[in-house]
Parts: sequence; C-alpha cells; structure tokens
Amino acid sequence: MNDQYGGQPYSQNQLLLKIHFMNENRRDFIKKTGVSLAAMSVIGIGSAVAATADPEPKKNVNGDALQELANSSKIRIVIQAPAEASQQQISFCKQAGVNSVVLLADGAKSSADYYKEKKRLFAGSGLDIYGVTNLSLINNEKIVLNLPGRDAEIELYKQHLRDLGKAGIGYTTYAHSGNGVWSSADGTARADAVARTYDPNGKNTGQWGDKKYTGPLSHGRQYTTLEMWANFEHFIRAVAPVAEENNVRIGILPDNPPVAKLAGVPRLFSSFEGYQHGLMLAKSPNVGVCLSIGTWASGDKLGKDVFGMIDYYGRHKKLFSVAASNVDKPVNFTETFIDGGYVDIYKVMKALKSVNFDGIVFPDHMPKMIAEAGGRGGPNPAYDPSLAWTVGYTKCLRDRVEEEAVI
Amino acid sequence: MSDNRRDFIKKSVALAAMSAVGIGSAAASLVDPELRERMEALAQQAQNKSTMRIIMQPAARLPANQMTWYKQMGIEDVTVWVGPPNDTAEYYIGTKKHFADAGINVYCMGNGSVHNQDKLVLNLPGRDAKVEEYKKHLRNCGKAGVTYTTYAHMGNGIWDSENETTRGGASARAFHQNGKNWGRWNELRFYPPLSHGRVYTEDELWENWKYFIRQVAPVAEENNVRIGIHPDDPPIPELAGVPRLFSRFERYKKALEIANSPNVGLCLCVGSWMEGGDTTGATAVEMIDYFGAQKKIFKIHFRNIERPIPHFTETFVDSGYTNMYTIMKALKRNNFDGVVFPDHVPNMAGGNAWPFSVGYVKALRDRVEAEALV
Repeated sequence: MNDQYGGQPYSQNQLLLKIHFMNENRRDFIKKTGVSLAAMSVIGIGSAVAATADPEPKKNVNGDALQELANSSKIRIVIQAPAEASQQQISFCKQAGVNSVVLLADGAKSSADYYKEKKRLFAGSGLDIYGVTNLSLINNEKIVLNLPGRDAEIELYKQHLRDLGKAGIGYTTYAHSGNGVWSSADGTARADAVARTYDPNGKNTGQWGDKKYTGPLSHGRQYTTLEMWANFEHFIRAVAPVAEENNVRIGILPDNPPVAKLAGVPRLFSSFEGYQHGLMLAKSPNVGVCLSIGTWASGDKLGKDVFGMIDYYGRHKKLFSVAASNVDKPVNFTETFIDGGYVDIYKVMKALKSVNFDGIVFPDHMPKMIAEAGGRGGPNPAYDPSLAWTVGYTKCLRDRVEEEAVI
Repeated sequence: MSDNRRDFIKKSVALAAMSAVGIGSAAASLVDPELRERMEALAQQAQNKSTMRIIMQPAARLPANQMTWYKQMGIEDVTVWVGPPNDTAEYYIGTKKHFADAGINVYCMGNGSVHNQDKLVLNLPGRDAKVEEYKKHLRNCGKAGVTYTTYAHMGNGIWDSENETTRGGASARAFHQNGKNWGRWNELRFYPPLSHGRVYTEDELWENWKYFIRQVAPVAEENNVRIGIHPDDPPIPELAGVPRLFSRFERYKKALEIANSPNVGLCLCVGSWMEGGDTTGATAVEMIDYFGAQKKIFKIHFRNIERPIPHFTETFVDSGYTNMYTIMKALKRNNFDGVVFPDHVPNMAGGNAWPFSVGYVKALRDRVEAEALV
C-alpha cells in the first residue's frame, strides 16, 4: 500500500454513497452487511468498488513514530531568527517543533567568533544553526551593478563564507537584485491582515535595508543584461571557490518580483532560463537555488512554474532551500497567509518529498496578524503570532507528507 | 501506488471515474488536467466551508482586535463561558450579538456555575436550586439562539499536579496519579484521601445523574439546545472517594441511555480521553467512530498528551502519543459537523501556543477536507 492521500481510496461515488449511508443508520448498515466497525472505519464509506480492490486497511503511525518521522525528516522546517534573538525567542523555535534555524545577521557584527558564539547559544536550546544570511551582503547594489567599492564587498562576502566555514555552518541564502524588493502600498490578506502587494501598473518602489529605489531609473541609466551577467559572473566566480573550500552552499533567491527588468535594471533570477544561465556561470556544486514559492508564483511565464522548478532543480540536487509563502495571483499580487494563496502548499511539500529534497523550508513574507493577540494567556509580545501559526500549518503539511511516504 | 490498485484501476474504472479517484501522483498524471483542476477547486471550497470549524475560547466580551486576529487565523466560531451575575437572558443575547457583529458565531456557551457542581453530582444540599439554575442556563441559551452547551459532571473537579515541562522547556499541565495531586473547580480545591468526607458508590452517582439529566434534557429539547458532556479529567474511575462517571466507554453509553434524549451527547475532549490510555475501554478514535456514527458528538477538544496515566503531561498537538491526523480523519468519516477546539495548549515563549496549535490543526482539517473531495 502506498496511497498518497491517507487511508482511503476516494471516488466521486463516495460523495453520493456517503450521503446515502449517513442518512441511514450506520449500525443498521453494519448489521446488514456484516462489516465490522473497525474494518468499516478504515475502508471509509468509500466506494463499494474500491473496497474490493483495497481490502488492506492502511494504518497510520502512532504519535511517537510521527514525531520520529518529523525529527528525522530531511525536509527541515526552520525559522529565520534574528541573530540577536532573546532566550524567549530561541525557546519559541524549539517549542514550535523546529530543530534548526537560519539566522538573519547584520554584516557589521559578523565574524567567525560571532557565528560560533551563536551556534553555542542556540545549541543550548537544542537548535542547530543550519545557515546564516548576511543581510548586508545580499541584494548588494555594488556587487550587482558594479558600483565603486564592489571588490571590497566581494571580499566581505568571501570573509562571510570563511566565517561560516570556521563555525561549521554550511548554508547561506543569497539574493542578487540590483534595486531591491519592489512593492506597492500595503494591502490586506484574510481579515484585514496587513500584507505586501505589488501592482506593476501602479505606484511602486524598491527597497533593501534602508535603501529605497524609484523609477524610471533607479541608478541613472539603463543596464544591459550582458553587463549584468558579467557582474554576476565576476561575483560568483570569486566566491564559489571559497564556498567550496569552506563547505558552504549558497542558495540564490528569485528576484522579487520576478520581472525581467525594473527601473532600468535587469533582474537575472526572474526566469528558469536565468537560473540556468546563472548556475552555468557559477559552475559549482555549492551554488544552487533558494526557491521562494510566493515570489515565483507571483511571476508570469517564467519558463517553469513552482512545481516545474522543484522537480527540475530538486532532481538535479540544486534546490537547497524553500521559502514558504503564498500570493493571491500572479503579476499584480497581494501576499497571503500560507493557506490563502493560489498555490497548494501541500502539493509543494509533496513535490519536495518526491524529489527527495534534503534542505530547509522556512516561513517567509507572512501577512501580519495583530501582534498583541493572545488567547487565554493574554497578550503575548514574546513572538509573532503569524510566525507561530504559519510554522504550525507548514509543519503539519510536512508531517503529513512524511507519514504518507511510509504508510 | 500498489500494484493491485493499479491493476484494479486499469481493469475496472473508466478514465473519467478515475480522475475523480485522484489517488496519488501516478494516477494523477493520467488524469484529465481540466477535471483535476475542477476537483482541486472543489477541495479549496470545501476547506473554506468545512463543517468542522476550528474555534477559540475567549472571554464573553472580547476586544475587536482579538476577534480580527481569530479571523486572520481562519476562525469564525467561538465558545464562551459565562456565570453569575452575568447569567441573564439579556447577557446571553448580548454575548451572541457582541460576536455576531464582528462576524463570529457563538457556537457554545458554558456556565461555570452549573458545570462540575458537587451539589449536582453528589446530591448535596442545594441540588435542586442548581438543577433550576441549569434549566435557566438552557433557556437563556435557547433565547440567545445558542444551540449547544458543554457540560461536565465531575464531583470534585479537574485534577492536577505541579506543572511540568514539555518540548522546548514549555510549561504544561501534568498529573501524577501516585504523587501529590488535587482537584479544582472555580475557587474550590479538593484533596485526597476523601474530597467529600466519605466514599461515594457508583450506584448513587448514577442515581444523581439520572435525577439531573432527566430533568434538564426535556428543557434542552424544548429550547433546541444540545448538551455535550465532557469526559472527567483525568478519566480515572474514582478520585478521592468520588466515582467519575465519564471515564469509560461503557459508562458513557450508560449515561446516554439514561438521558435518552437526542439533545444529550458528547463534548469529546480527546486529550482527557487519551490521559486514560488503555483504561477507558475505547480509544479516542473508537469513541468517535462509535458515537460519531450516532451523531452524538457535538464538540471536540483537540489536544495531545505525552503519555497516559499514571503520570501524564500535556503537550503540543504534534508532540504527543497520538497521531492527531487519525482523530481528524475519524471525525470526517463520521461526517462530524461540530466544532474543534485546540484547548489546553502549553505555555510558549512567555505566552501561549494558541497560534501554533490553530495553524497545525487547521492544516490537518484542510487536508482531511481535501482528501474527502479530490
């Protein structure tokens, strides 16, 4: 038995049969047909036809075994935590059933000792630092556009990789947008939760860190795709060998939004073809993809959809990490809660499992739930309820997929 | 996909029927994409309109931003508790309206003053006044259009030991059957060896149950209110001299037979039930299959525990000895159309685990709904 969808074979007939049986007294049904309660509950009200072909009941694993599956899963659900997380925030990660984190670090503080110290601190709460993202060195316009000071930034990036290597941390997320992430005015997701939007025909601006970018030209001129690729090649050829020496893998995020050009600056990682070219230039086993589901789903005709990307790069072992996020529709979009967008995140999880994905999935770009919300315990400023809710939802889908793979 | 199923599909099912079967990726790849898309849209619809609603349990008056937060998590129903002096029909009606104005349905109202009452359970002086108070509660529910209420029938309350820690050092309720423990309800505390001065027999407790339920069930029926009886927590046959009737499958059966009313059923707290382990005579899933088939389950408390008695600790919904998917699946196959309350979450990072638990439970619910349609 290797059903994909949990214990029962389903058919459209089932709906009719279900209504039928529910209207009857089920015990009468049991009596009449001689089906035992246990057998029936496994077969479900399921179709009379399928029942004959599938007499073997499918047994779910028990809770202890499920926890083992979850803890040994190669699809690691991780939380992106601030490097300066409080002890309460660290405890929160472990309590949420997460065993690894990715730290978001300020480049000014980064050093091998800093990373080592963080590793010890998180290990004290049973958490592994899977990766560190150096916020100062991603979407870095000097590197992307070959502005003055580029080589100094590249040296810093190499140092970041060496620091990770010394600390025994094997992964970092990278992004290569020349003028940041572009957004329009905030919109709303379910129940007026504040959510990021992007309207290609409306007012929109780029941002990264404290830098803001506006059209028509964010950097005074049109950049050609050719020079953009030359800049990427210059960067990646310099850093990939250092990544290899230090056993660090670099996952490249898509440009957000993934459109071909914004404010005069081409966006290289906004199509399957772009990724193919970028990885070809890198020519390194240590350079791969950090696929943001929501970002990719916000694109139009990117060559492959989210599932095509997972399938292709998953099979080629080039998919290192996945940002779990969702949007309402492509092109002119609003970010949604993980269950509220047009991508079925269960299917994403299923696709990851089918390519034996061995990396991380982290909640990202969540609409903001009301921050002071709390239940019986009252207001809870210690953590972000959106994050807690999204981790719960996403972890459940991962747990389901792992169980479905063994039963 | 197993070979026998593949053969089966080849042999006996037309393509159109098969696409509705939609089992597994191997089968899915053969499916007409348009039909599949339609089935998936249906599944999405089912999630949005699930009859298995997830609820929260706030105070009877809740700030607007908290209600908004519930809806952000995908919650549109609540259960609330009231009690004297806020036990007037006006207050019940006002409570229903307070939430309805924000687009939230009050599925359940409980009244702590007529819940776990030793006067009712043990036939103590003042019992008849409590019976009357309970009838008033039912009538108030009826007037407010609240069609369900949770009731518990513990003579000496819910029993605890000192909190312990669960995953990640989170503080959680615990109970040591053989250690220091005590019962509680509202401001009352109960202690072993005898919480009420003597040993009560099971027979007299059944008499008391009959006395109570036979009077209130007709009032529940007249007022279109269903009563869901919560298991004794923990479901141990007797504590401090007082038998606990709702601690065994057979006892639940007997109690419902005595009630003999379509309006009396279960608020099945699967967490409490799991505390009993093998001692309850039926697993939580078996309880759902048995009473669910009779349409006797009105509400579910959806939580998990690390291990059963004699020593249990509550834990996160994904961290206990039960695979909670099996609970959700059992509810769906019995066409459960009540509410699912995450209940008793551990403390988390200085606050609580509500959002984590609601996210996990909603994903389980959404999966089970999708599986039922695709």
